[in-house]
Amino acid sequence: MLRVKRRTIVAFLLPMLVMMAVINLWPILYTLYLSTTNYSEFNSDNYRFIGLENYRQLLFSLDSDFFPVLWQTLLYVVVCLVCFLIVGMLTALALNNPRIKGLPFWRVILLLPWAAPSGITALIWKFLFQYDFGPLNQIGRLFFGQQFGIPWLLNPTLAFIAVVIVNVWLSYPFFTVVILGALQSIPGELREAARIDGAGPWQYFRHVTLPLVTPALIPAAILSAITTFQMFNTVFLITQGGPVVSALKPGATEFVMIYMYNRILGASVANPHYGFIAAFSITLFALLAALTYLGSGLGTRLPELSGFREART
Amino acid sequence: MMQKKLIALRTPGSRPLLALMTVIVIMLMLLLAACGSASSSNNSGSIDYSGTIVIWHGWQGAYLQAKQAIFNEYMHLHPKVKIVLVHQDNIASKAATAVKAGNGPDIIAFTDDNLGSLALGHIVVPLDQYISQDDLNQTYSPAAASALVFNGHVYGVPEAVEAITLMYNKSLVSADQLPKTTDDLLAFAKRYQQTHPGQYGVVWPTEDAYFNAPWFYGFGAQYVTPDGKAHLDTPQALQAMEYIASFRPYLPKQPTYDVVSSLFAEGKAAIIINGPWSYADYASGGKINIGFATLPIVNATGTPAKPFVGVKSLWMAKTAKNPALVADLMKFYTNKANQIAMSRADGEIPANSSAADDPAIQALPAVAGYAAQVKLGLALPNTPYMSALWTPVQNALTAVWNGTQTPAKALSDAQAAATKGIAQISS
Amino acid sequence: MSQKLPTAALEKQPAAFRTPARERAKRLQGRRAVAGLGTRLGLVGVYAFLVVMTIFALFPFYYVVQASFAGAQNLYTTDLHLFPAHFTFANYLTAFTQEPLLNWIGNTLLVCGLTALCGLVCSTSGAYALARFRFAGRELTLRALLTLQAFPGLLALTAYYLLLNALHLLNNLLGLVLIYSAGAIVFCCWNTKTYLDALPIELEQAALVDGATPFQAFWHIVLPLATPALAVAALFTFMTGWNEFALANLVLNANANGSNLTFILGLYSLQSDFRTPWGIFAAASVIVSLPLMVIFFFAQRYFRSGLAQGGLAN
Repeated sequence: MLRVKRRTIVAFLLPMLVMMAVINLWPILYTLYLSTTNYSEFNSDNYRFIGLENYRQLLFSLDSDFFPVLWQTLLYVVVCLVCFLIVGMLTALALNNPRIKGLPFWRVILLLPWAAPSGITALIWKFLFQYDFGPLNQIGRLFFGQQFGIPWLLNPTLAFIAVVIVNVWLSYPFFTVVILGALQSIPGELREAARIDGAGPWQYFRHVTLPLVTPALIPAAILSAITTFQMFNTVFLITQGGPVVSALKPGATEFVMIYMYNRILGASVANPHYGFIAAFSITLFALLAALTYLGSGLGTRLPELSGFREART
Repeated sequence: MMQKKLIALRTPGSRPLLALMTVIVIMLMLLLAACGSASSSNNSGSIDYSGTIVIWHGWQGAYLQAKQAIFNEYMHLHPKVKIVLVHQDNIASKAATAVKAGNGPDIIAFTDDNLGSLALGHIVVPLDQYISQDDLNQTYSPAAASALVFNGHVYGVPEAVEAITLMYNKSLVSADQLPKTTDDLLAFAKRYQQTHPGQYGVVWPTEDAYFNAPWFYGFGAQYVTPDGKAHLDTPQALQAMEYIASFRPYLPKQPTYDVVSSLFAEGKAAIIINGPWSYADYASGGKINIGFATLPIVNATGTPAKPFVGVKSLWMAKTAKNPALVADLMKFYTNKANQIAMSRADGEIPANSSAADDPAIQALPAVAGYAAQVKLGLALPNTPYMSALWTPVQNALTAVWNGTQTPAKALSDAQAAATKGIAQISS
Repeated sequence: MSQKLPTAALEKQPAAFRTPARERAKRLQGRRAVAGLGTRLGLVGVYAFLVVMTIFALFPFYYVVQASFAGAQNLYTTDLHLFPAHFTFANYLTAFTQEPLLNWIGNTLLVCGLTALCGLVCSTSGAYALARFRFAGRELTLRALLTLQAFPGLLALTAYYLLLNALHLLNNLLGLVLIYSAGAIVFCCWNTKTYLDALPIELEQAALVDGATPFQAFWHIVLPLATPALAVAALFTFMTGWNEFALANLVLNANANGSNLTFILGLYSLQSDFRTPWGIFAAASVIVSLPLMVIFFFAQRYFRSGLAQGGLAN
């Protein structure tokens, strides 16, 4: 540590703190304030403080959408994460196999989804899934006749699967890269030793590869869980939260962020309740902050990695 | 400058109170600024022909060009006035946010059913001072004029009356083959698909509340009662819903507006149910020879299917900087000559009664076609509660079309959701 | 190149596990020898997997590229086209002449570039203070940074709208820069601080003893040394904003021809406008994606150094 005058410290810190106060802190505090009012579009001139009423409605009211939305978001996170790990692991193992010819070629191809702007690819996927005219169903019709059609974006379960597929397409390269890095740091003599000992590929994978790769995977997995949890762009551009299950329930892919956005800026919101949505935001923030602390408690370097990953979400 | 002020006030600490006060101070200043400018230009005798007028609208394509021409002419007449047209997707919700923030347009152009909620939220403001109710009644057709009045105040001018009707491609279907009743329509769709695989007899956005209103109201149901109660759990509504669902085998599975519209434009659908906004695009360049017919008669009730008749309106937003100029532009935009020009270009029914009565206009097939349908339609409910109905009805239609819910269950859920929405509006 | 990145970045952690794993591997000794590590059959399986993955990875690209060259084919057709019937550049010509593609790319680059710049300028000296000075509230600031990191800007939609309005920055690319900067500052600060933690402090101490001011030490000694970390932080923040849809949609209203949008808003409007044939959307996507993909591949080289060194600290 350097010993300097108090004034110097303040001078160094001030620009950042001022900026953060305005664009980081103020919006959060204002949202916090909003969450204790009944501010809505129609009463913006005479809204008032209502204490924790919004939170009560959100968390304890029977017809609140909060828990269903949270549940389907968490399900999405878990399913995506499992797929990321499996596809990422298989791809990394394949790319780490020295007996495969043309590795650089495969590498570039398989990492390509990472490089494309995800917003654009989401719009493309949306068309691929189109029921009547989308190429996926058209290809299916070549094999199974004119009546064939998978209602990708129409059936709640299939739409969920569709956005999982897209997210896997977008994210497996990140896991491939992370796992491949860890694989390549495994010393060659280990493999040699295992081979001499007569360990089968599964045993080698189970007892050597997996334990060595896990430490690299944990931060990547936590990070991906957080990013997937707050995913908006990709899913919104494909389904906008739909398909509708019932007029009373959130859409099948209406995950937390999409739910919030749809309630404020959605196509035909009758009367946005900004106060209520603010309570929703603050509750989510508390959850995310807890997750982040949990992650940092596990000794991972989330902030650094996040830039790396988020560069493409 | 503003930025500095904000920072200076913010920095002393992270106390929320201070942040709050900052916001309040800023909002007050903006409010004062807005009031100041409004009161200074209230002098209605002479109009200050200068400045920029921003219009938010939902016009598109060839339709937009016809309107742009009129505004260009106004700018030509008054060189110091600049008119900026801004296309917005969700006009009502975007305008609400923007006007509240003091950042809205001068004029909002939208359909009349939104007037109630926008006026209640003080997003649009009365301009009785410049346009009286008498002016309205003398200039525009009665239905159009009344749509601009809310709680006894005039909020703007009507530009056109619109309703969806049956439009057909004359090279694919002849007038005598057109279905006359709802049962005919269903049979036609079925037959057409058998004889033309991969093509469609009739298309419309089957998941949209506006496009399906003709069936609901034709079967004797209604979305919302005049006193503001959701009215979806009725046997009539169920009949309508079941009728719509019976088209599932004969229409695309994802019949969004863009899909059905392109199908018709590409000659892959013989009939479309659509409104005046689409006519210019289909007809331009002689692409499609379009014929018009009124929507079929509902067999169950013996009455014709009843579309909503919308009055496309221009309202003055609260953020308008020069109300006198805004009113002047509105009058110019809807005068007889300009309304006739607009009608000729895009086939809309003019709201200006002397333009609508003009024989040349009445002879236009598109105007005649839409006008015949308008006579059979019914006014869009402009109760603010209607805004709580669109999404639930659309959700019910979507759930039924996708096959996730039965018509009965979908409607009872929509009824509950709409009731909840209405309660939120009045709370 | 890319596959090397985490090798360095994550080397540290596998090391901790190295010994137990070795022991486990040793435990396998004495077990009966099975067949070799991979049979010929296994190899065929790996190739098959690679081919399947390649189809999965490439199909969306392939479909868009072929559609972009397929000419003005109909938007909705029930005949499948996997190969352009007649190869043409017509869609590209239309996209370039009818749509403000260059404006979209320009706007996006401007917003992302300024965001990165703002993130760096506002955070570097702060990161230095956090890394080098001891003061009351330091722990608190670090903790606050970590917490803020967990706050997606989308959650404060309403608040941001009011803030930008108060600053007269609505419908202005600078407004978007300001919102994106919130995330950028936190990330840049954290990344730079971690990197500085790993740099030896002795040089600066010596400079201070020789009579240099803390600012001179920061400017002449630390900044040059920290350049790789700064470059990486700039790159990351640059790329965070370029796909963002929700906030951009909130801040920017399309003007008459839509030339004031970022590319994602522009392409979205192209796709939702039912008049635009899919081929033109496809051509526009290809044009917009190409430079961004080039930037991405170019940038990957730098991921390694900056991230690795930034991560070496704790």
